Amino acid sequence: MRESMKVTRRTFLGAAGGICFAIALPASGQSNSVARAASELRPSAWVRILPDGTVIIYSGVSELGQGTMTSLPLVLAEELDADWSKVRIEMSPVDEALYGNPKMGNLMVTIGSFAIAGYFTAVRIAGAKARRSLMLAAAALWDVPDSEISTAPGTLIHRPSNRTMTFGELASKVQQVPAPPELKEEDLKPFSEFRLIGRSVLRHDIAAKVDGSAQYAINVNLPGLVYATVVRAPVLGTTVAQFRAKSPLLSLPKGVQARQFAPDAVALVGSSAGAVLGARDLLEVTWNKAGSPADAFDDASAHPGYVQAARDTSQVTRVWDKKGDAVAAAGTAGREFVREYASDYFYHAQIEPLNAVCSVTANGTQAEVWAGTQAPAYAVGAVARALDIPKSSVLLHRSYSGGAFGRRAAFDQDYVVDAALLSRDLRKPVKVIWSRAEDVRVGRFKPMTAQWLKAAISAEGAVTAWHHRVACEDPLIMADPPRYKARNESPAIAMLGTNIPSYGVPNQLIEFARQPIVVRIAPMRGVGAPVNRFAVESFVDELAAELQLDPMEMRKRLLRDSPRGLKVLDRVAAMSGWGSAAAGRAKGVSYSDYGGAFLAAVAEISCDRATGIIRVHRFWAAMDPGLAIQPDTIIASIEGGLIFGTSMAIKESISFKNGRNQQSHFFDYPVLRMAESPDVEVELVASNDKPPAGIAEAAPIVAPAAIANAFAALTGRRVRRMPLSPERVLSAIRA
Amino acid sequence: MQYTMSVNGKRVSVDAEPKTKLLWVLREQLQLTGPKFGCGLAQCGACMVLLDGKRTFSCQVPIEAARQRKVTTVEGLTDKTGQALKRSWVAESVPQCGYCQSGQLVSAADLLARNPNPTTEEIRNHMNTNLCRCGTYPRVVKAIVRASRG
Repeated sequence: MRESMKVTRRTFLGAAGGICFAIALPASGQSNSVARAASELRPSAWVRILPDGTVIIYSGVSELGQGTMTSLPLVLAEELDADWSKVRIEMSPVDEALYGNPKMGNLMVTIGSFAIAGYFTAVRIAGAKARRSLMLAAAALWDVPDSEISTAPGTLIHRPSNRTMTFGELASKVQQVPAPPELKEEDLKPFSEFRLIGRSVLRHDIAAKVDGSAQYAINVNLPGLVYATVVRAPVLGTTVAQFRAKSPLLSLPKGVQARQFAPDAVALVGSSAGAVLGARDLLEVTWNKAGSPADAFDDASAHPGYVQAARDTSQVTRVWDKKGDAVAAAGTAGREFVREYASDYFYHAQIEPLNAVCSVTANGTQAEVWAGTQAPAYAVGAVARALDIPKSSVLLHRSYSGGAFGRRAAFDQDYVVDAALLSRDLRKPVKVIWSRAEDVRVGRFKPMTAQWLKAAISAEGAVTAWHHRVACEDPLIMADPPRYKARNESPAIAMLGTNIPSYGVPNQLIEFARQPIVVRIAPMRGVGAPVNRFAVESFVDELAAELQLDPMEMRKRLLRDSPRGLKVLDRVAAMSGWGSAAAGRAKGVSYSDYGGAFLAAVAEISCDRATGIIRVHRFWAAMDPGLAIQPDTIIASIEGGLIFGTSMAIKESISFKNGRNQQSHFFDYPVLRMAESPDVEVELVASNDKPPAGIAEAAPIVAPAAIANAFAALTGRRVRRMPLSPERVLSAIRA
Repeated sequence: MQYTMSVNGKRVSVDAEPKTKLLWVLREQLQLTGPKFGCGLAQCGACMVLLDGKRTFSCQVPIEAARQRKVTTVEGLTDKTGQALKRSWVAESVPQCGYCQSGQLVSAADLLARNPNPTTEEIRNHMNTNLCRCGTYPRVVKAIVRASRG
């Protein structure tokens, strides 16, 4: 058996940088800072240099599969002039002041494609300053002016005397380095001199994810570990009334115990995950009523109210974006064009069910936690609140996440707190694994929407005004109340994707009509944008039809002032052979400038008119991400994102009856499988002189409308609600 | 009950309730955490292992049914085909979140054992048992094609 499989508490602690937390926590706190080895250099909070030349670079962001755990350290290594073959990447300690996202108020949350854009300049400056510190140290050691020091990868150079010294040699000679000068963006390398950025390297996490040794929280083993699974209130706001084995004949298996550990949750506890998960269906829990509209919520009955709210222009919770005067312009235009769209609730469906491991000391004052989370500082805070101990008494080991997609980003870190409460109550280390059924039933979903769009068209056929209204719940209210308040209740998560900055429409009004929260909701990959953009890009195609323009030509007109938008559109038109399609198939196009990444995609589909099943055969996509830091990572993200978006567009839907979600597994919440998955061709047309944009949300954003537009091209009928389920497709065809 | 089987070429003996699923014995008793729990109902394939050389959802197999049989997990894919697959998986940078990939590799090994030169259509149909939420499917296909070419 490979050594790496035998994960023990000791090896985990070793991997965490030598803190012996389990044995003793420093009285002064600092539990989440990393102890310093005897002879290493810390030229920056981000960098440790060992005497053997190893350069350890921290990743502040969580690794969810998006690859930024490699890309951002690579950016730092570029400015540090590190030898990439000597770089080792580790998760940073949980310290928001040092490792938080500078463009998100220093929050340590990996969401919304904000990592690259948020950290890029800060990490470059950190790398450049660390390099300057090393140069100052070398100058002092050699007793030469620091202006005469230069670097080559991993090496300090004094040309006048022809002396060199590796970073490791410096670390073995000095204990500390002088403070660097303050540096600004203009002091950094010109983009044209990058030697690491722009060339794809092997991602840090690939090898371990191939040989099976990659560490997810669900793999953690500790001495004396007990296992638990959770049964949580199916209706938001309800609590446990009673729980018992379903009948005496179906008693819980030997060694499995049921216990309530929170007002809304019962746990099954035992000595194996298999035993507790297997006992789930033997337990009967009855629930009190919520005493709120949640008890009777049914999405089909609620949606007409959403449609009304989207239509009723007097209902404005927030003006999200505004340019010119769309209302006045509409009044003077030749004609108005209105369409309505909608979308269902969606489930994250990450393949690793929610889980966490926690070991609370017997006196309840300290906690050690293992979790895959998008928000490590929130996890520390949530455990501290739950146990009523200081944050400094919580040590979090940041595991890989087996898919996250927004489900692991909430302020309350529900699945992590489950483990903390149970470990405290049982006085044992506990691994909590949600069953798949629970992961779906009490999931937190991407909200249902209703969308209303009105364009004003001039006598010359130009779109002169654009009015878009979205009615939905605001997921940020539930996902992150402090951030919601701090951002002045901005409905960003709900509204992103509605913005059309590169479409040259002179008058724009984009409004949010907030709906009451009745079920559990959360941001999901692409935040609001996949459904908002489904509406926007479907509408653009409907406008094209109204104006008797080809959809590609329509977008070219809208993008006339956006050279980068036009570039990706032209590219994807060429790649896809726009204008022709195989027999029985049709193509549709869609476009997004979410996050400053320009992406155009074309889908080619067919449809089985007997079953209503859409088959997406191919996708072509062209993206300008600005500077492409790791081109292959970007391409992989677009490939996967188009498949994720295809899955949402044609297969996925969550529905509610009496406040309860009606789906409970992959068999009733199907996710796209390989045989139904499109072939995908992606090209980057990068603007490498521009700052890098966040890219991981872009592809799921464009996929649904491209498919809906292809469906309209194929059948002459339009489905205006996501997903384009077989039932909706059939009713559109037969209408 | 005591059960003896071969796991990744080694004889092992475990003490478990007869109905305990093989997945949990591998993960909890033998610390082989390559096979993953994803759904518990043979829907996602994250738990896939080879049982006497044939792919099997280890979340479905009671330990009593694995007695005296040969179990291979992703960690044990060390034969020529297994190595070729792992090399190809790295060369194509297949994983994203990585959670499903152990199961994908085991399913791929099962395919190549019986069909050393599959067409892409055969690959896609065979691999339909394994879900990947990140959408690594195109790279899984490429990696299998690459491995099949040696």
